[in-house]
Amino acid sequence: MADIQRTLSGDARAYGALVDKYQSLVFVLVRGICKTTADAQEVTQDVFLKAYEQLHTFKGTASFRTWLYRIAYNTAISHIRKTKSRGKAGEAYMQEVMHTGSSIDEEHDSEREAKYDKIRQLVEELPAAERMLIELYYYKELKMEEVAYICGMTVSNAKVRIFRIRQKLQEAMTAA
Amino acid sequence: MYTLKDFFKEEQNRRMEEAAGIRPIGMHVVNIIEKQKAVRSKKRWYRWLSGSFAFVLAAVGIGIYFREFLAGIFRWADESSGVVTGRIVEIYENTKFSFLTWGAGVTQNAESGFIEKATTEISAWPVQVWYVVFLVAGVALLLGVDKLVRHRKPA
Repeated sequence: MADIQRTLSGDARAYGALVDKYQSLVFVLVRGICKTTADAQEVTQDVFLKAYEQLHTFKGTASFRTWLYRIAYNTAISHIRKTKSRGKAGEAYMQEVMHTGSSIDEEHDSEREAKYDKIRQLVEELPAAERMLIELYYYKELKMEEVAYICGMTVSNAKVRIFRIRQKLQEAMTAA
Repeated sequence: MYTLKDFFKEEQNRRMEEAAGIRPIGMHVVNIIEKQKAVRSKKRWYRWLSGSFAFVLAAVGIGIYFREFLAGIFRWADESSGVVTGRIVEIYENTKFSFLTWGAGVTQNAESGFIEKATTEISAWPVQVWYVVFLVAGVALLLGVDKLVRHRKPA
């Protein structure tokens, strides 16, 4: 909160400290929908530029992290809509993940790897808003109230939508 | 059994590892913000200058096109101000005289009383003076209401 107050009173360096503190959290959230690491870094940067513009609207009713996630959610969704070649994005992500995560994958058996690929493919095929919703649901340390706030919907609506997405994914997994 | 939860957990761990390898972008973001501010300020200046220039041009153009009409307005304003100034001087002299006589203790016994004199004086004011009086009263009323609204205590 001190950094926010200092930023609002014109101290740009305080905002730099805020960015450094939260950049990993935002990056992890937006990484899933971006083609490459560089692409995700660009979206992360956009999130912080937008957050700076809207910082005066932060009233402290939600935590700063949740407020920032809400901006990240909206920026990520508009990024998905802008880059319409989602299929290609998925492929590029898969290739990069395979390349960077080869040491982890070596430990997995082939069945687990196949399941992973299948789920990734299913998640890639979800519409942008549903994809972000399920990402947030499984995102660390987020309560349902926070997920609803970030997505701009009521808690009950968020619960119903998440239930349907999970059901859809599980049906697709068992059918495969 | 490999579940959705396992998948997202694995995904997040993978992304966390990736995020750990990224250099801090705080200062970079701050630099971009500073540049954006400078560009915005420059644009504002350009807009203000071009707006002022356009306004002056338009004013000159209108002045030239409607010069006869404007000359009429200026003549009328000159005449009106002369009349009003004359009346104000007259009112000032009368009021000064009333105060001087009142101050000398001749109000009650004077040929004409102070109140009567003042009433006669006020009723003779030209309409322009009344406009100014009502304008000042209106502005004062609005300012008073504004102050009351701003300083009201929350319920």
